Amino acid sequence: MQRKDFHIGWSQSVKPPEVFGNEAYFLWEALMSRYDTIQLSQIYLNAVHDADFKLIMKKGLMNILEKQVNILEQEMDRYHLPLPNRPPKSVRFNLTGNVITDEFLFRRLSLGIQISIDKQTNAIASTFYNDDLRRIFVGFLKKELEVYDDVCKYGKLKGWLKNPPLTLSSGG
Amino acid sequence: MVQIGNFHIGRYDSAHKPVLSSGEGSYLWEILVALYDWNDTLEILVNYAYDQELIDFLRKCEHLLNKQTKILEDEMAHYQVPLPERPRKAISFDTESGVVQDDFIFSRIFINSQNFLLLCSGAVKISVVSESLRETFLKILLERIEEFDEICKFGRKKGWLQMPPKQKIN
Repeated sequence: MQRKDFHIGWSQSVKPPEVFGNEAYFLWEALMSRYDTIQLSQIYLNAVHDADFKLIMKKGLMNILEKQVNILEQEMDRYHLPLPNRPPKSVRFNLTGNVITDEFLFRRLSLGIQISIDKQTNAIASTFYNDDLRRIFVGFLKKELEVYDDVCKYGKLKGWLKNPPLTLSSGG
Repeated sequence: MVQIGNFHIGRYDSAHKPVLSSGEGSYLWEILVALYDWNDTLEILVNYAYDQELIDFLRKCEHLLNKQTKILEDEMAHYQVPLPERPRKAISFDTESGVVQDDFIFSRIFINSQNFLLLCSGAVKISVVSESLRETFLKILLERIEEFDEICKFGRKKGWLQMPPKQKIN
């Protein structure tokens, strides 16, 4: 008898956990995009001037991403899926001049989160057979939405968030 | 002059009217139209459903739909965005049992739920001006995720959920 990873019985009857093709793809895609985001954030960190923005990127975002990477690596390992190469631990270089502004980096960051929201939603909508995996993706999306809400508020506070054309109610 | 939220006391020209972006207004309208459309579809599907559990499930979906419709209608009234036409209150007709199968009805709910997730996440994404509207869209998205979870489990229990292809990973 086997329930998920727990088995009682003859060793020949053991079955490794199975994953469908689409679920394997979304697991890999989620991990790859986090590796990319971590590397990109490390590059951005060299250019950030504002101290609290730096702290938000380091503690707020990178820590969340690292935790999620650990979960995804464990899941891929559980399903015997090949892991992609990890990004470098840190990327340091000297950036002179003031070409890349904090406002520009903020907009890259918020765009990245918007793309990530799309990806996570797609992953949830496509992971309909494996409840455990769906639960993981739902957890990731909830965290992403929370971060997005905070980033929007922070951007407003700093004056970096650009407003689309506004519509004003006409009144009675 | 005093204004707390949308409540204002003072000279008429000192009041701050609620503001939203063109994108937020368009998503409000788009989601509400999708909900109205889904309301009509559910009313039609209930007539064809044979399995009692499926009928109960469809009614449950209607409950969430009505709740979210009310929230969006209130938001649209608040921002004075013109409302689309409302769907019919009820659609009843005689059906020959077996013409539309229960698994086909389930597929309609499943696919619609997937589409709603994408639509609602798009709405959250573009809501950068109005904090309260972002919160509303976020709540709607989270409720839709919960519903999608229930749909998946219900479909698997009934054997109506299509199994994706199993592939050997190298």
